[in-house]
Amino acid sequence: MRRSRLPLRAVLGALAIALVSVLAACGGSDSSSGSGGDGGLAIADVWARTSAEGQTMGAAYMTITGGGDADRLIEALAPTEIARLTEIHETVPVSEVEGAEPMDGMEGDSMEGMDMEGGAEMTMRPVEWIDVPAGGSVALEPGGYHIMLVDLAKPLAVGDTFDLTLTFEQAGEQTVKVTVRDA
Amino acid sequence: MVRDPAPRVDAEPLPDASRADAAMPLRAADDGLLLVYFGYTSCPDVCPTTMADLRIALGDLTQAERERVQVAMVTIDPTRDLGEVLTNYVQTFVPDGHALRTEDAVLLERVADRFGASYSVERGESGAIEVSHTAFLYVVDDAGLLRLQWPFGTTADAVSRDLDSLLQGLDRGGSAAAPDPTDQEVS
Repeated sequence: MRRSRLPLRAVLGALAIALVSVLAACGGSDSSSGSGGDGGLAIADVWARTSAEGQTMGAAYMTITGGGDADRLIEALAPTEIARLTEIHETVPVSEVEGAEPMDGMEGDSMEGMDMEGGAEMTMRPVEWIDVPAGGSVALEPGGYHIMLVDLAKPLAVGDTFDLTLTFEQAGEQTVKVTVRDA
Repeated sequence: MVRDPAPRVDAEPLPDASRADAAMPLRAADDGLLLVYFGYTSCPDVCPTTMADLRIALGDLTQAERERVQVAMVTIDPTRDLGEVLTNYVQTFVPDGHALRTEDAVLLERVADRFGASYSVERGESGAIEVSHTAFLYVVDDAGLLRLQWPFGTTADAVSRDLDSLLQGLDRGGSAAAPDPTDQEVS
């Protein structure tokens, strides 16, 4: 049930080499400064929540600030010592998910669903990419986009860190360090 | 969000996996409050966010107040959430939390329905199990009445203030007025 690896990966790897300056802008940065003045992408505040014994899923969050050009996060990969699979997900109200409910034939007029029945029902869906606007930021945060860690190899404990490799359409692979927090 | 009139939700107990499956009524102890959440442990985002914020909110209460509040998580995915897993999960956030689990799907649905909670657990086209669930955190009083519900995204501060206000209401004698509803915008 593995997701097939994108053949694009090799190409992107090459792209990444061409974008060393971008890597320099992110790698090793311990500040959460915003968009790089040199046109680079910046990824800040990368964290994952602790998980309980026996909990199979985890989530990682961060803020991504675009550089000079719009970009897209298209893949994320955590080491297998952390999770069997890594996916990009979004939490959404069920009312926004097409066809999720038998009665939900008509999309678009369902916003009145934010009352106490139905509208508060939440679900998750995988997303193929997350847009990162040029010079703007996108937050991966609780209740929205997140990197889902599927089949955790072991519980995530406060203070643990692990590498997460993010693949961007333009900026290529960026490896960031995820810190596990109890938030 | 205040439900008026407050629905009665304690008609049927659920087995508490954290207490050797003892039947737990969905009603607070005398002068207390019971917080009820319908979720599942392989929920990576909404459930742990809610429970983590709740942990912060409970930490803001005085010790005396804290002792009057119980927390129960009801699994809507009992096939995957075995008792031990569910107990570990809820008690990671709330050490004395209750892990309610029944394999009686009809009972679970009836109980959830009294709260106005809904859920679905289905195998999607890709083979992955897709789950949706009402993300409210519910407050039940010692008469088994549903007094308040917080939508997903309610801040820990707001939860703590509401709990404080509800507990003080109980102090003033029984069926206190509901607190001012906290502003329910998702932050």
